[in-house]
Amino acid sequence: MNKKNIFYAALPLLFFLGLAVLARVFLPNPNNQNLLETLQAPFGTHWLGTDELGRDVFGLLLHGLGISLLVGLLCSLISAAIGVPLGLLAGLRGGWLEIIIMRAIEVQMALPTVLLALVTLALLGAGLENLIVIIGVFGWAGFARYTRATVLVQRQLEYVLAAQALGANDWRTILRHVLPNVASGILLQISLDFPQNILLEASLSFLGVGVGVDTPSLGAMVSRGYGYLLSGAWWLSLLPGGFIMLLVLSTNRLTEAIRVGLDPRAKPER
Amino acid sequence: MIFLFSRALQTLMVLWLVGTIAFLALHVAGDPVSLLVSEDATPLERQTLRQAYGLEQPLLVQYFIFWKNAAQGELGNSFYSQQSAMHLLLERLPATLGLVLLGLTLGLLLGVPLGVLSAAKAGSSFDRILQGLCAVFISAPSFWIGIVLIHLFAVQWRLLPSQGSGTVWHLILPAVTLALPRAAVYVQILRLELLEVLSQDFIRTARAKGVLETRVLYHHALRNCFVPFVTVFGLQLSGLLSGAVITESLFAYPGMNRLALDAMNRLDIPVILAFVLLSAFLFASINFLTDLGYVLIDPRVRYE
Repeated sequence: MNKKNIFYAALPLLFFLGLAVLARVFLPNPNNQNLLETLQAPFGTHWLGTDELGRDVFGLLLHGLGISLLVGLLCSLISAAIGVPLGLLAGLRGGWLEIIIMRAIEVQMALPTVLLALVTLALLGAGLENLIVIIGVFGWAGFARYTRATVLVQRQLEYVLAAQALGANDWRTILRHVLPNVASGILLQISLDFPQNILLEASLSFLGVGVGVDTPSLGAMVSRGYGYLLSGAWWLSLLPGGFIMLLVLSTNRLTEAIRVGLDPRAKPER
Repeated sequence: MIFLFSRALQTLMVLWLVGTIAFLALHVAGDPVSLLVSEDATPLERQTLRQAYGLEQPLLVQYFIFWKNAAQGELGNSFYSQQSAMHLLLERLPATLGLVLLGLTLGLLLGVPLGVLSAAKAGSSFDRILQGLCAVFISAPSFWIGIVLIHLFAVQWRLLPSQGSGTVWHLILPAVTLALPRAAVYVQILRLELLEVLSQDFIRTARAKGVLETRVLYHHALRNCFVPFVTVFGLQLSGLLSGAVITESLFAYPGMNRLALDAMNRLDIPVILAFVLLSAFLFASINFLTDLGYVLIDPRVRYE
């Protein structure tokens, strides 16, 4: 029953993923300009209109969709790759290591991420790679805190004691016994983190410090299209923004379904 | 008391760390002089500047001077306007504070009654539609909400101005842009908390003794949802003071965040430094006040 629910909740996201992949394979380069057909309204020769350089908006949207998905996933993976090991260490080892890691988590959590990313990007320079690394690195604390809290619970359970009694060292206990038991929760954390990264990338790109000007990310599209809003070309900013909203909405639905599926006591209504 | 002391200490530690990282980023990673002079400056010109800014002294001495000045709110002059960076920011702080407070108040006025109503009518079609709307507002990027509002109210219907400031009318669209996603969060939290509280015994007692349902909801039940609510409100206030940058930029609103964004685009280092420290200070102190707020609103909370 739960698996079925999760599958249905995953459909919109899978649809977006399929669109992004198909667009990469079959559509021509969305950056192809046609200066004879600039700023055309939707539902004409171009399904969703054209931008100020005569590029097809639908093609640009699908291309930007791929970038958003990539950013969301890579950033979450980087955050998890830093946060999970630190959380495991803090939870299992304890002592001064735990104190240092916990203090670092508090400091990181006490600072607004948008601000941090904004300042770092301004100092290091914009670009897709910088953006992914910065969002990824600044996201570590949530994963570390969650992993540590889960490990503290798991540590009390008999199977960890049994493994240690059998002579397993710390690393074997962590990798072979504890990690498989906390993996599903970490997956849930990734799916919670994923849409936040997409929104963060869009916001930073909208502010002009995110991806470079030549990368057709959805946030950068809104930023450029906003300049034409007052002259009536609403499709250039409203459509990519709406696309981000749909993408995040469908991810949130999936996360909710996974959460309910993992925790049988969780209430289905939020 | 010990709790308050340790929280105050923690706040200071965060500030110290942020300042140190900012100082190191500026003085170790790059040469501040190269940001100050033109590219074809002679070595003599560089040397003069170095002495003028005290950059020839040992790093440790500079570090202490940095903190001595920072404690007095002095973080150097803006490279562009030559005025004190902190002064420039503080000048713009009231505008940001006004916008953020108006936005959060609107969010509360909208979110609290709707959240209570949603919990009271849980499962109804009103509840379902409202939950759907909340999901949309939480998922949407804030600039998109702002652009939709501008498109409707400024471009299509020509009712409200979309750029700048000066009159009350200028505040409406940015404040609503801030308010809508917050209201959606309030509705979801209140609904969840209220459903939990409404199933408890004291609510049944209140209903049994004939208390009006509105009084049960607003007087008996709502009070018990205050703690998670204040947490979120405090986080939003502190987050928004330095996070309203998107709204300010979208509506060309002359707040502190837009000044900082301009500074970042021009690499105006003193202003960026001052902004980072001021934001960290505001963020940490509001979180501290939020902790104090728990004690005031919920007599069950005691810090030992």
